[in-house]
Amino acid sequence: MVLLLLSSGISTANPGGEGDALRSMECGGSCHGDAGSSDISPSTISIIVDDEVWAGLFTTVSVVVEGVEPSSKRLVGVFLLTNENGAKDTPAHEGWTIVSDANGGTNNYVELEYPRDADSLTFTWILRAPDAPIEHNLLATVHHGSEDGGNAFQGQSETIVIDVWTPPENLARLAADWEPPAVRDIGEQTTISLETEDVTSFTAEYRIDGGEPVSLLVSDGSFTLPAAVNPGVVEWRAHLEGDGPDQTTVWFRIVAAEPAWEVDETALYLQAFALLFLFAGLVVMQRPSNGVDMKSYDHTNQVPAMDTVANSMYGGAAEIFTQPLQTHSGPPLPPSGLPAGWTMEQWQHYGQEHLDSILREGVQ
Amino acid sequence: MISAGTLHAISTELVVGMFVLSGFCFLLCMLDKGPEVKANVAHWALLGGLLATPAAIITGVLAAPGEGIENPLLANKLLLSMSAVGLAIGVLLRRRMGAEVDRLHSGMGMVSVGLILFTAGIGGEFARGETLIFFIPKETVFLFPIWVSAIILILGMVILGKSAIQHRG
Repeated sequence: MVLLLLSSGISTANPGGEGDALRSMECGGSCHGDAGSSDISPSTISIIVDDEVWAGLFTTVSVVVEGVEPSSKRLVGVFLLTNENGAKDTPAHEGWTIVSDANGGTNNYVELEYPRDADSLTFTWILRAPDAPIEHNLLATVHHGSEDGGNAFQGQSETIVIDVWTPPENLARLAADWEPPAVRDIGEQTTISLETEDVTSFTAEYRIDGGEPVSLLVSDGSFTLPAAVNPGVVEWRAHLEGDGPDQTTVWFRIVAAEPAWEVDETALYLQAFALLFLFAGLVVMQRPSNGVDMKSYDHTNQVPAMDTVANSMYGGAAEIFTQPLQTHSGPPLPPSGLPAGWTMEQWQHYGQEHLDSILREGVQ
Repeated sequence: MISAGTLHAISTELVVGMFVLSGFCFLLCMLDKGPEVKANVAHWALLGGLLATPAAIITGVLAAPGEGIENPLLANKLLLSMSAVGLAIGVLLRRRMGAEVDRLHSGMGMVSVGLILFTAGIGGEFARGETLIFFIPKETVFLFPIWVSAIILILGMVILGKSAIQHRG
């Protein structure tokens, strides 16, 4: 562990990124926003929005980042924000709805890998504009590491003002509650059915990597996007025609990704519990090496009755503690023990007489 | 109101901290160095970490994005953490049965701690895309067929039960 710690460099950035999320700038600012641990990004950040933004309708916001020198993992993160306060600054706080982000999610903070041979990186959001036809602010901040893995870098775009207009009453449009699909699996065709308002007919087209648009066959209000062979983005849009003004929708984006990893959760949980019991059992099976169950505070085996070594001077613990106590009816033995040649039986009968004779001899 | 992610961070730090303390004390036991209390500290810290583990697992499941286990890292995390918990339970039971803290016992305790640290490393890879443990399996999961897991589960229960009966006898 110490070796691993010493072999690793220290960076104030998070080279592995933080993951896409819906978050305020204060979350990014907790590390990258600290002036003591981050530098100003040398990158140039610009925000591109549609010319006309209708209240309650879809619009595209693109953030173009140029001149980034990211870390070895080449991750670049961008926040789409509505103010510089650091809190309550997500698009949702101003009434914007994120329909899809650059990765097919619905987040205002998105991370992308900066290609090595690219001069710029574009983050595109499809938003549904606020219902209030007033001026709204948008800005973006960029976060990335550095090639040497040292400081984190943070950059901020200028705040742009977007005029949101009330759409013409009979403008051909997509239904207010209709949401476009944003992600799909590789190898899977996607059929999209449009729900519209004030529309009599429409056509649809798609493009890949900003290339030439290809027309799609529309049947019964639906069209089908071809399956994607590789991970990437396919863009599509529709030309809506009605009695009122026509409208061409934004380029909606649909991200093709590898199918999500799946596992038989029953098998997984069963194996997890099986491993728990197996390892517990294997450890418990390793019995103590001395073969005696003994606790550090259990001194039961150390009482004299069980101690055959300490009591061996009495002829062995097993016998001395199992035999009844030996008693005799004669006088107590003198300190020197039995007289020479006497037996205990003789002492019981003639011992007192022997002691008396010794006493008499002593008096004379 | 605290998010599951924050609670997971708290409970995970509790688990890892206790297990690391336990692992350090087991290391001292193995080397036969340090104060007399090292064996007691090792086992009590292991027990503390073990008690905090369910909270870490539950908050981790709640904090994970999506529904269910949709990432090989999460699957490996589950398998490793349960193995570590099994080892830790075994070490504590073995001690309870009167085993001395010899090198074998200390070694098993340290393996349990190592597995928990490995699990924490996978968490770092999953949450932040970086970890000190560069060799963790990111796309591979060793998943047994259900019948194999069932046999292992029964085997483990039998071994545990037999050991408990032998101990009482």
